Amino acid sequence: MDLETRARRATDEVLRLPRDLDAGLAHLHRTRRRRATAKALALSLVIVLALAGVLVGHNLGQEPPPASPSQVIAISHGYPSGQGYGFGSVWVTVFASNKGSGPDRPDTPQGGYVDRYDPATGKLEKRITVGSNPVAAEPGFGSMWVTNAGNGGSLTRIDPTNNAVLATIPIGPFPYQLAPAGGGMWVATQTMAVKIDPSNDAIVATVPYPRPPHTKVATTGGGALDANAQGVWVSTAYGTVLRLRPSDGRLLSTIPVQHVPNSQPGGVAIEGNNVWTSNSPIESSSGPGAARDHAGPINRLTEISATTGKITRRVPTGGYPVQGFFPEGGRLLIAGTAMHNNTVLLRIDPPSQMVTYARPLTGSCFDPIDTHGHVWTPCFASRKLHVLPDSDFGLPTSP
Amino acid sequence: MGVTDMDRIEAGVSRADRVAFGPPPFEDFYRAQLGRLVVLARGLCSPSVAEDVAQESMLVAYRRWGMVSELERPDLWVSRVCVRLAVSSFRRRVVELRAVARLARREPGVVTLESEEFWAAVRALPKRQAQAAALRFVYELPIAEIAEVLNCSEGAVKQHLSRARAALHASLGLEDHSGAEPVLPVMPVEGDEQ
Repeated sequence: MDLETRARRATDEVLRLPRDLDAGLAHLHRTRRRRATAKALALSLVIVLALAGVLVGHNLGQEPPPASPSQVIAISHGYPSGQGYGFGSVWVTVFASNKGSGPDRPDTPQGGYVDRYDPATGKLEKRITVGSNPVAAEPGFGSMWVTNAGNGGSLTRIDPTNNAVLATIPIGPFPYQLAPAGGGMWVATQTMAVKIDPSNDAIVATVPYPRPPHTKVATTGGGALDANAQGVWVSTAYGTVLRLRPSDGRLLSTIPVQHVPNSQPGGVAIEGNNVWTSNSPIESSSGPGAARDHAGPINRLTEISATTGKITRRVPTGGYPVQGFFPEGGRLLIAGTAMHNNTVLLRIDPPSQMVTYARPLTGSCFDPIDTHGHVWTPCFASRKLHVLPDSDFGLPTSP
Repeated sequence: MGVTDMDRIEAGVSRADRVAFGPPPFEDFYRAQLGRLVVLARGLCSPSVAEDVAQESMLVAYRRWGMVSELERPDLWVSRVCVRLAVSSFRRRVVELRAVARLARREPGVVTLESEEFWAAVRALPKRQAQAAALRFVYELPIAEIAEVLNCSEGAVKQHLSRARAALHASLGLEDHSGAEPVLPVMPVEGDEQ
């Protein structure tokens, strides 16, 4: 008898075993109800503990002392959409708006600027015209690089010594986060990771994101990435984080972080051996940026070990959808969407997952960064930059 | 008599059909798929807990049925849950604890010594080999679909299956008529740990 025949007989024999399907279904219904009740109770407990944490942080002696002054900087003729820190400056990406009517959705092409600020004084040093709808900035190879989401997607390279635009590189739809690694600048677009050779600004590698079979084709915005010695870590709209070899983009591993048909990539940020992503489930995938956020326990940050490639932690964000975050000294600073498209800056301390600081900001705010003195947060609709001292958040003021 | 939801599940109808007819009830999916899921679990963990692992996998599908029913192959989705649950030592321990209580009331189904010897040989394989072999034998899946369920490359699946076949031939005392070259010791394949 060959192996296949033996396997078929063994399979058929177990299939023929009598089983009470009605009793099994009834058991399933009962178990589901019981676990749903237990989950609701656990969620209530978490919310109570989180609120208690906020109250303790604010009212029982942990009120952060005012240190260096905070600032609110108004953006003229534009809407701040993202930022980066490099060459001693904060580089804020701005959607241009000359009509005063405000920008449309991020996929409606419009002009773009990068505003360069002195982090010590908060003074605007230079406004540089870049591509359409700029969304993120990152230093690398002696230049500042800016991703532009509009007009098919491009990358702008800026010389920080004289603020001159050195190159504008077409790169594919909806580029977002970027990072230097493996001798090139890696950029996450909506559908693929792209590597740019800084010696000639040519595209030298493209890595399309593999689509798991259970996912739908999502069009919800650009991909996200960050890099360290272990790899380029890309969060995709397919609910996965990819680890790529920085030298040539070979796919080293695929880590499923969501098991739903639609998800949005969120952001990626690395601290030490920990790769964090805010990849989150969504209901709709129609149109870039059209995915609606949902408050609730689905909103979590996922931590992956860079050594093993395995998920090591899921940290709830107090129910807030995440619009940007960074890890700092083991803590997480999160810009979360609050009611009426406003924002709350939260500090959450794993492993207790206690919210130890919460500050409301007006308007949709994205991608906070730390200049090791202040936390800068661009707020899109209110056209403001909020500059708050690190001491407000209990963050270290030196790297 | 018209086409029932059960017929559509068993025929593996397309998503477009499901949209036209509406999502199939979970109960029909359960009745059509539980048996094969139990067999799959039996190839990966002991008979005493296989029914509970399959039931637990169905519970996961039931809680997300709105999403799962939209998939082209909900049976593959639940098989993925099952192969993970069956080899995760922590989660299996939880299921085993529940099974202990259930065993006091119900014996696991008894099969012939020959069948039990076969499933025991599959369970004795390294984890990834056992998963690949069980999916192949129980669902008769092609290489590409096994790779999707196990979230690894087709090349890795081929190696897992090749090694599993060689090991099963040896442990069951069967002659290998596949004509394949003997499998030589090679570098470990991704995820090929016991």
